[in-house]
Amino acid sequence: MRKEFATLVKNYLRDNVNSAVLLGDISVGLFVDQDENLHEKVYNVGILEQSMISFAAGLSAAGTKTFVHTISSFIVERAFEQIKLDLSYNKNNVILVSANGPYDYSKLGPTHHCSSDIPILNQIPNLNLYVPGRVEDVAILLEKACISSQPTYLRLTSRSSSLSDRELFKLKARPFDDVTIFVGEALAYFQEHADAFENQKIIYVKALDECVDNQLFNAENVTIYEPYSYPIFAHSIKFRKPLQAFCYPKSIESGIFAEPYFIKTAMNGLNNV
Amino acid sequence: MSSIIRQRILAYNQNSSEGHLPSSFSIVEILISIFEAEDCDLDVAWLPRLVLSKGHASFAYYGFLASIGMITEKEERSICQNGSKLYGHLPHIIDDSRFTFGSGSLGHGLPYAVGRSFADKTDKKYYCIVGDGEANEGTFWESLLLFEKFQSNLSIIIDCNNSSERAIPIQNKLTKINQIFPFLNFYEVDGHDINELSSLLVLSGPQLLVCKTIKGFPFEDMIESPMWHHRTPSKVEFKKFMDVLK
Repeated sequence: MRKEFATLVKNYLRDNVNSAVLLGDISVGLFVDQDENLHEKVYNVGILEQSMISFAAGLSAAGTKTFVHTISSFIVERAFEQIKLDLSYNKNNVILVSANGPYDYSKLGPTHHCSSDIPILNQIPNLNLYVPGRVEDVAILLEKACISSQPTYLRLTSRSSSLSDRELFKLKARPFDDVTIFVGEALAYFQEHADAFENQKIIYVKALDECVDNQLFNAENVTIYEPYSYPIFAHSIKFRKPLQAFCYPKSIESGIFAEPYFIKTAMNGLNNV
Repeated sequence: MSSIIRQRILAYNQNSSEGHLPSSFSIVEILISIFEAEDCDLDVAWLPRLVLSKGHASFAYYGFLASIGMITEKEERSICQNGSKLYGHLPHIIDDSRFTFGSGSLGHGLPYAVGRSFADKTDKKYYCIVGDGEANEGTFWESLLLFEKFQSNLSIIIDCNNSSERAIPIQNKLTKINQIFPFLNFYEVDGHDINELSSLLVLSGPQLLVCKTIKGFPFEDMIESPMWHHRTPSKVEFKKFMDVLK
């Protein structure tokens, strides 16, 4: 996804005069290309994440479409207040793009895990939260972010699914009453364990503001897999009765996660009101 | 004009029991100097180029705007009242050129101003007012590193009112800042001297002014007294202060 992001952003920079990308000393190699003459739009600003976000807010206020790209935890957890105040409250529609998903750096330890990114950012009003689960969705979501009047957090991940639109359509059209929703990179988990979900209608979600309520109209049981530490998408669905949600978060403080780590929320008896 | 602004600041404070008086008083002449450097332009169009990073001095900004007729009496009366957009720290108000950057949490304005001025291709002059206490923030120093790389027509105006000295002293570093950031056009000035300040603010290029100011100026009671940082004077004190200004 990072390569795709770099390609797409470089195209955007070429086509748009007032645009810039700020790199927190990450993915620099993907942007080094002498022929492309983008040196006045690609800036490696190094390791100062908080000021990088406020600086980006300033560029944005002056009419420059600005992308900020670095490791997720350093954007979200270190510069949270800058995102809240300088982007959301001051209405600067900067596009934040993570270099990684929650456990892409699993073997490097907890400083580089970011399973809390979406639950934390969900506290900030007027911020788009996009979590592509397929490489091709990066383009769709970047385009959406570019025309949005709100700032955006786009979470890239190395754990992506290769399912096509056609396959996803067929999965969604399955004639079953039980539904399982996979958010973002959880779709890759589905693909790896498809046999376990044979009798389910499958829905894939790539943005936290997507509406799936109508598709759940006839569902008996709904299960949602979300790739972060607390269920967020589950709370956005309008259910007709209080539902029992259960989560089983592991400790996120330490340890190497060989298996993908998800919050699973199950809702039973959706139509029994 | 400075006396009128200070009277307004005191009145807003009496009306709302809110606001940071000494921090507001120390930047009054700085605001007037910027106004003079802008040829006393009464069009709000230049205000987005002024970033008040020390947002707790918002009463000085409101008083300054009122004294040049840029906010109405009704708006003045609403300061820090329920439902008002004009609160105790500087607000961001959509589509209002007077309030383009809201502040309050320290250390946000300078990196914003560095970006805002760098991206402005007209090369117009920008101003960012930072407190010396605020200069303890890591983002202040990060921003100077950014400013060295992304140079622009920005004046960083440090309201050196001694706030930092009661906690982590920093003034002796600020007065030598040009030694580690030689790209800055550096000046150490009296922050209450409008003539000197405005004559420097008209100069272009990356600039840093260490403005020696007095917190609570000109009231003896408030000088060097942390107690006054966020306090409302009694009726008797209010009358005494107003009499001094008149």
